Amino acid sequence: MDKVQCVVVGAGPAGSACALSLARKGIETVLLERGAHAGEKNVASFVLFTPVLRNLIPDFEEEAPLERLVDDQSSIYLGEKDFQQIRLRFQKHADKRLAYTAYRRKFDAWFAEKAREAGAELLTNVLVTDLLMENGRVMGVKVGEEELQADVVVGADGIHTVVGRQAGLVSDDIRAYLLGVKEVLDLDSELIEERFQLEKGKGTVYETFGYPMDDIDGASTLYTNNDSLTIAVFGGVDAIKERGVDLHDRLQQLKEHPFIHSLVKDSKLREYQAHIISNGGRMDLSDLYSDGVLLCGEAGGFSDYMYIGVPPGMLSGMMAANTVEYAVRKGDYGAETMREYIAFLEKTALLRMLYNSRRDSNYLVKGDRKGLPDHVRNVAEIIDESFEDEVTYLNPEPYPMVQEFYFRIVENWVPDFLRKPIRTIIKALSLFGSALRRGKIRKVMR
Amino acid sequence: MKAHKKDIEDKLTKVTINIDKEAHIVVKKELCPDCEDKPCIPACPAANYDWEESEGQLIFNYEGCLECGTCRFICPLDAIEWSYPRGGYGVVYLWG
Repeated sequence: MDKVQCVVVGAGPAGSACALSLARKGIETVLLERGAHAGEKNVASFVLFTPVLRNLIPDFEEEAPLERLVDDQSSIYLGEKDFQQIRLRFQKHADKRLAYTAYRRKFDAWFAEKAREAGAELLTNVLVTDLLMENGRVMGVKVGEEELQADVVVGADGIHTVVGRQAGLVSDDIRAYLLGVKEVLDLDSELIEERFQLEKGKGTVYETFGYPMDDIDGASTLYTNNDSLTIAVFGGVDAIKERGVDLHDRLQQLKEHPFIHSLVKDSKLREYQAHIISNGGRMDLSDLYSDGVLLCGEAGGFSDYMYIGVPPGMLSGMMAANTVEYAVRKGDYGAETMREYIAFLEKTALLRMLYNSRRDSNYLVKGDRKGLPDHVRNVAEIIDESFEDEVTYLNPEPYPMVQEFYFRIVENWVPDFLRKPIRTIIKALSLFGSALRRGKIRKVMR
Repeated sequence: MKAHKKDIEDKLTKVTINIDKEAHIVVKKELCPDCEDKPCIPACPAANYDWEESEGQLIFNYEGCLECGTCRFICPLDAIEWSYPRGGYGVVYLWG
């Protein structure tokens, strides 16, 4: 039977980032992908933010298959016929080229190839069906009848993670999941630039709230590729189950909204897609590792409030690779050693950002949308702040322990009717805290 | 009856699927007549679940599966045995 140092399951952004980092560290790595090519099982739901990728592959723009450079983003609030648009231009960081749109089939395949070039062995058409276990310790993976032993298995196998479920780390709480239903629509690239008021080659992302998703706390998105538009709706799996919501219908309604219709009219369907994504609430630190196993990417619940899974996925993959390296040096792969993963994650802004995501998703998607002036200001502030986070992704920042502790642990025991008031208080405290840190309040006091 | 089934079927003609001869999702259909809400029918974005009124039974096609995994979570009777298709089979998103 074969044995390698590390098996990474899933060649998405997290798995390939992990395998690429491991290969560069000289650790023997096998990267397994169930599709015939990396990326063909994946569905993007947002733009690709670049800071993490730039850290891994500084000159990626010369070769990566990218669509439009995005330095522009809108939050759109839809009534049944009317709409309100808040457009943000990211001028301050324009030179950093922070975001692109991309097709996952092209991008993920390119990225997996980078891992292979670095020395990882990439095997496609391989579905991991089970884990090899011995006395509760993960010893490798099973692919049908075949077995592959490894010192460490990294589960980067997405939202339905076979690795995470077989290792007993992931449970199926449906509140933690959203379904996204999406269409890619052919549209002439000049028409796109005209309708979205874009410079040539530039792209934008619309996040839309309200109609026709407001009754189920859902949201939707519309963004520009070179010669196509991507439009998608997202709704909670709990609402779908309990209220028989049909997201395909909602997508049709969205496309018929006068404003959205003016953007997508006369386009032609290129592809129809559906995918489950995380609702930004599953994250529990003890569920990220066990004896001989680590979870990263969507498998570990690493995704962002606006459904941005790629940068947190990549960064968690890199930190998983650091952990494997640490374990290899120590010659021990038990849970105690694997716990070092949390320490590596804490050295990035990732955990803080995921905490923010969770807070913002509750505010933006589930919060009260009435009261225009405050609302406009808050949304702009939150989006601006979250964009700042993208910039500082790789920098360690103060970690809001108290809030984190509350949301991760304490809230589970708080009765429903108390959750909202407590969240409001915590939100207020955290806004006060961040203003204090930035010196705003001190100035006023002087 | 699934709403707009025809529309969805038209959309599925734009999706590349490498169909395996084995079903990756198995439904214990004998349980379905007892299920009141049948949330799988509206939930499935590929309209793979439907109710055949004349025969009083559930129809399920794994062939058009988009592998979103929604049905894994929503069956009230745990009648759906869910897994991914074998490596290399199933949906191929060219523009995901």
